[in-house]
Amino acid sequence: MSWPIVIGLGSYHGDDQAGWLVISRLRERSVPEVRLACLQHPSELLDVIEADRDLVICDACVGNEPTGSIHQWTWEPGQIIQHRHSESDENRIHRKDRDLPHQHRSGSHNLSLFDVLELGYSLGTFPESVEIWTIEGEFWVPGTEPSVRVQSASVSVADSIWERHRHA
Amino acid sequence: MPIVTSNDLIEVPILTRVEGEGGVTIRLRDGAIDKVELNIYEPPRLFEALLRGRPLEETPDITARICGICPVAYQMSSVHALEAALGIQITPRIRRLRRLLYCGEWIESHALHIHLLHAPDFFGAASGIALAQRFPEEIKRGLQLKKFGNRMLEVVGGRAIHPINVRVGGFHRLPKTKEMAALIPHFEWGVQAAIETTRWAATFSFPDFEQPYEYVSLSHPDEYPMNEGDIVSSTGLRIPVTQYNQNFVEEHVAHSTALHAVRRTERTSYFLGPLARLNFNRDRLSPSARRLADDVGLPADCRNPFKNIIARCLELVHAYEEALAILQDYNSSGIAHVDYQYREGSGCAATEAPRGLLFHEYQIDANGKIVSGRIIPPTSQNQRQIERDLMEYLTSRLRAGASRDELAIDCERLVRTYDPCISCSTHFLKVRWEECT
Repeated sequence: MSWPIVIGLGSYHGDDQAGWLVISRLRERSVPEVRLACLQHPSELLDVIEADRDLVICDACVGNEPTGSIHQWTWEPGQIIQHRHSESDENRIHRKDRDLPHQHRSGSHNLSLFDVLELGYSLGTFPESVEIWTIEGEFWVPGTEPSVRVQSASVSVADSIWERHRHA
Repeated sequence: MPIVTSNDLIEVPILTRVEGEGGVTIRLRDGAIDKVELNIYEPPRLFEALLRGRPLEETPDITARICGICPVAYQMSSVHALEAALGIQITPRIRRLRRLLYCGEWIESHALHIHLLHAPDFFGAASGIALAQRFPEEIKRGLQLKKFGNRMLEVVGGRAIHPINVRVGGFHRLPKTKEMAALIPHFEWGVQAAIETTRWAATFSFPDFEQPYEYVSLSHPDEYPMNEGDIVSSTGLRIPVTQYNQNFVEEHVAHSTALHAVRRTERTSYFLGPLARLNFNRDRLSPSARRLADDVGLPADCRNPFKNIIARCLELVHAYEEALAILQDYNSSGIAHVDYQYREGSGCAATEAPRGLLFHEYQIDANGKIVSGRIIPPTSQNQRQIERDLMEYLTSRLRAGASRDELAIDCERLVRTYDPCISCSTHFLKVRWEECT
């Protein structure tokens, strides 16, 4: 087993940089550069995932919890499983077609993250299970810095990923 | 299966697209289709107003934001129009590099539409994802084809989505020879892969539907049209782009926030896109694409809109083959851009976006600020034709006994043949039916 590929999804719009900040923190921890990537659109995953390698995706999200809240999910074909973050028992909530970051089923030339994962799995180019981390954001103004809470949460996510995979 | 009643109203309420949202309404009266409306209800985005008073240098990057799948088209039409206003003559090397960039966009746009958006229609698949389970190798190949188009945009344009290397007069920097050389093996593979894709698409079963279209595209005597050429039409029209306004005009319609372009005098619709380009410029396709067009039996004057996918495939072959030739001949010597002086004036240009002719027109002041701008995208120009096609095609399907569900599906399929930005998302349509009272 070796380091998974860790993808940060985001943009330069305030808290939407959450995924990129996670990658930045992992770089500081000397995770091999070839295992890290900052992308803007989920469809770009199809260009960078080429082998049967564990995949971790980090992104900002909009939910009902306070800014900076962390969610951890596992995607498996046809469903997304939410894990209670920071709880040892990891109660699982199985939800089919649960909303994911970038999920926009009304469609466009840009596929949603859910669509991309399904497509990659159908083609046999993605692993059967994908670890997803999301951070609740609040401010999305183009060109602005991410909020302090999101910056802090990004460090926590990066450190959690590091702890989980550092012995790989 | 719901049958169509004599006074029925079929509504396809959401045809979401990259830069907008729309739907289709079909009204039946006395058992016949009375009216078809392509409803585009997204608020206008007002890009032309946004440009006013801004430095002309910002125009290519601002207009590129109109579309995430064809930003190069907006950059190309805008820089050519502004260069016309400023009297700039670009060098042959810059011109060639612009064609290369455009090839990258055609590749990524066409590969996406062929494999994930359009091909599913020919197999009753709900999406590209569903089709991938049935044709994994074909879809993998399609994604690889798209990937190298994106890679080209990164190398020449600076990034794959909304490239940033284009400027008035040329480019901000020339790509390094080494970066370009690294693409050559991928593009050698791409020519063959695109040929295989075309042969696959040619085996699809196409609805028997032909119309007496007025096709319109650019045409250039020496090359397949991308950045330059006269505007030609299947009615015999041949005009320089500067006469666009004398021959075409946009109209407001009540059911759409997007303007409808029509022929100025006749007020009739016209048809843009790969099939139009191919019908006028088939002899200027790259050698492999030209031979392949004959091999797959595409008629010389094809009038079946569903065969747009074959034209799109042939253009994919062409784009790969032309890009390969440019890459093999490339070195990074020479100037990246031509310098210029501000002057008051106006200029226009049309280039061929993946979906068809894209017209830009600008007026600038003596300080290099935009006084006014006008942008007429291909989707706007195809809207009226899409409505006419829907009317004719659905009428024939109704006569053949199609049910409401089948008509709604037919509606989506026909819209998608045009690859308007609307078509991006029509796989996720929700259809709502209402009875007329």
